[in-house]
Amino acid sequence: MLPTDKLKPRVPLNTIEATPKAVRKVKEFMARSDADVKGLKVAVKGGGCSGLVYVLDLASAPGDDDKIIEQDGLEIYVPKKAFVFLAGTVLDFTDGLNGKGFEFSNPNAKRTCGCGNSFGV
Amino acid sequence: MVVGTRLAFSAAYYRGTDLDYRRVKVTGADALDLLNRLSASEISAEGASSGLFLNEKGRILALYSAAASAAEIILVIYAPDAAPLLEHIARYTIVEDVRAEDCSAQLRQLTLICADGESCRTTGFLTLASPFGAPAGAADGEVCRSEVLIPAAEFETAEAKFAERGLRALSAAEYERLRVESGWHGPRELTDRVNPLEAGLKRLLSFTKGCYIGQEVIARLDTYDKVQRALVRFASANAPAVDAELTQDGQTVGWVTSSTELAPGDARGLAILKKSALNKSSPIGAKGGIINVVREGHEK
Repeated sequence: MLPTDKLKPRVPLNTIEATPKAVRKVKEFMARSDADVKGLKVAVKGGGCSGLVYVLDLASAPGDDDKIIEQDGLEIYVPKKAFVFLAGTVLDFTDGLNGKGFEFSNPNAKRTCGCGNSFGV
Repeated sequence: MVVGTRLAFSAAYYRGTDLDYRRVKVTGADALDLLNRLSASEISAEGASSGLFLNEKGRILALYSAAASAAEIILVIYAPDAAPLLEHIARYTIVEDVRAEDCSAQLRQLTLICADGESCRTTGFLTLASPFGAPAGAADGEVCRSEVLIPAAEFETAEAKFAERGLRALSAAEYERLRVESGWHGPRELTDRVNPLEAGLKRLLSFTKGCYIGQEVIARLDTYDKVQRALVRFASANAPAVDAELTQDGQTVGWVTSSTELAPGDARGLAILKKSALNKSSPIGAKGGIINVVREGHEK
């Protein structure tokens, strides 16, 4: 049996990555949005059961302090202060009856809460 | 009516020091939002509220009384909690516009304790219903207690006015005696060694607001009835030392959090005690003597 860390997605720590399914889903949301959105804001804020919660939002432009990551035609904006908690993270999307929607696989997370929205480092 | 068996007064004030309480001012566009994400209960956007900040293990980080306005949120907390709370807020301020600072020097505090209710209401200053005076684990209601926040420049005049109204000034020693005798928790009871359910503070937890730091632990403890210890009052012949270990049948069952001697041979105290010890008839000892737990009506 492989150690569990061998099964985790490997993403360079200078970026974050969205799976093709996640990119497709974000683009769907962008197309449906009435606002002039240009990219996806991925951030972190204090709170949740484990101390930090993920934030996903459609954004019309990157913030002054955002790191911009381009993937498959999708611009991902990550505030630099949040990036330290997100480096190497994979954003996935699962749907269907058992799907959880957008899911984060974050190598920095030492613990996560039951719902998966909150993590601690 | 008299508050306290040894201190005869119907209304009194206690000029707490920076060793007792601190005031923390939190400002910024995201201040209320962040504090509500961290707090175990909802902080009202306008006006006063009380609650708890917990750590990731569901243990007590700080008990607060909050006064929120559009410009700022003032948190009144026990003094030892100030540095950990400021660090906690800073740690979880990531992208938010939030600033937190100790404003105790600019905003002073008087504690009002009264049996008539009226003295605690008409102060002329920002007055908060106090979460600090609740009896350990027992129902509220015997006495009224408020925290009055007074700008530093007006403090001496305000204090003199309370004295003129006939409120008795309590010394630190008198207040401590009253506190322990009444079973009111203080900073030594509410530390990161205990969780709020053990401390009898369930009323300050929200079970409907959603996620907050420590919430999963609290929900699990409450749902599965896994609270193992309780904050209790005790009487004893001698006042055991604070932090003294409590033993029963040779086993450690808790520790003393506060103690005071009311008279020779008559001491009172507060302790964190395993609930299982309460169900046994064998004596509970602290170094130097036996303690007798005061049974509260709420105990299971």
